[in-house]
Amino acid sequence: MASNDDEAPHEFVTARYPELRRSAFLMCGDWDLAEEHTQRSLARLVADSRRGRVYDWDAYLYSHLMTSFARRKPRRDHLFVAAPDEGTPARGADPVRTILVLDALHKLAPRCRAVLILRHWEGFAVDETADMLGLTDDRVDAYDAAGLAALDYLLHGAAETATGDARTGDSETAVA
Amino acid sequence: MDTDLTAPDAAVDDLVDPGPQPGLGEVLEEVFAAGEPPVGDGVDVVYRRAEKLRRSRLRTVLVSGALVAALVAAGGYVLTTSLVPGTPRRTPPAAAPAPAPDADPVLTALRGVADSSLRIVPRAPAEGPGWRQYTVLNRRTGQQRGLIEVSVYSAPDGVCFPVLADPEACARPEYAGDDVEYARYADDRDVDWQVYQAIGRRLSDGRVLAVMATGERGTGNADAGRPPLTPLQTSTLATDADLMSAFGPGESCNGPDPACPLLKVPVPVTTR
Repeated sequence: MASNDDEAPHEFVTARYPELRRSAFLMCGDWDLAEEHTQRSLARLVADSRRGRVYDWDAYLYSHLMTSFARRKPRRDHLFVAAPDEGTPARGADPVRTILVLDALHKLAPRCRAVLILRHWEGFAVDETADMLGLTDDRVDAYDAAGLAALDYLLHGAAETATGDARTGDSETAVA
Repeated sequence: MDTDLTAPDAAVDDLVDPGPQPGLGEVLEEVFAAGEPPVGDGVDVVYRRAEKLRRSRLRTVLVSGALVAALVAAGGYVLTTSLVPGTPRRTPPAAAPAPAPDADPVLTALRGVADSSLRIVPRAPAEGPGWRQYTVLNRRTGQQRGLIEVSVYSAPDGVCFPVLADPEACARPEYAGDDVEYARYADDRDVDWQVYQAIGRRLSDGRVLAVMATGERGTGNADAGRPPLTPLQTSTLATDADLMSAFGPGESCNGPDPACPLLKVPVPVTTR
């Protein structure tokens, strides 16, 4: 897939654009911001690949994307806005749940969030995720476990609040 | 209900349906069930931004390169002027190569008298019938120290050595040996035009030798503008019989020759 000397082909950019934008959206919860980060990362890839400086386009892309979010201060009070009405909402779409999931995700530290997205959304392996984020494999595992546990707690707790049902017997998982 | 997300079949608690719990990937997939904005011309924007980035980088490289080149040039100039000795700051306008010492007996005589810290070289036009001129430089720094002009005249009937304060009077000459009378002059009132001059006349044949040492003009400083020869040195040269004979028998600045030096104290000889 990666070409050492050639500029990233148009097909690659076109294919990666929506995928990258979704990952960016999961990171920030804002479609406009996600679009901005996506375009910036892809433009950087195109510019650097022209000079033969990129050996793995995917690794470069996601590394740049996640790093750019790590530099931003997370907006914990951001109101997540659902997508515009251009598309036909899929069956079963639940805006409330969307907001809850995004809010829970956004309560995690940026690096932890990035690990979860790369591992469970993009499907990258532990070592690939570690390379992209500049972490060791053990650290990625630790972030992964802590992030999942925290999400579990946050969503479980939110569900209880939303439904008003008392959940008993649930394992108490410490928030990471 | 088990809500462990780490297990493959683990589930985040579902608000509506307490059925099989999805993994995190499936949970996140639901975020996009509500739809997403169209890509539109996003890809075109990417390539426009990439081009902009490329141009910006090129500008940065060019500016950095120019800056580095300027710094290197400036650094080289500073090092050269401060560390390399003997580099002349100003090159004489048309300094001719110094002739071999025995090819120019006047130069030989000058070098024999002048301070060893000075370097005397012919100054173009270096000579004419009855005259020679030389540039004097600081041997170490190459700084110009002034000018030495030597000219000969014919005065078989004697010469009235000028008195600066009285144009009508004749100065009482001094004598160097039995055959040479002379007078010396010093005018250093103007720091930008300091002149030491001596006029010697050989009694046997009336040959007059004038030696004028002019300090570097326009220095604004008395020390820097001091003539390259002392009054004693100019008079020593002006009374040097060998120097008088260094000029050909027919050479004379009696005139009219516009190339002859314009002396601060003109030699009152009869114009031919």
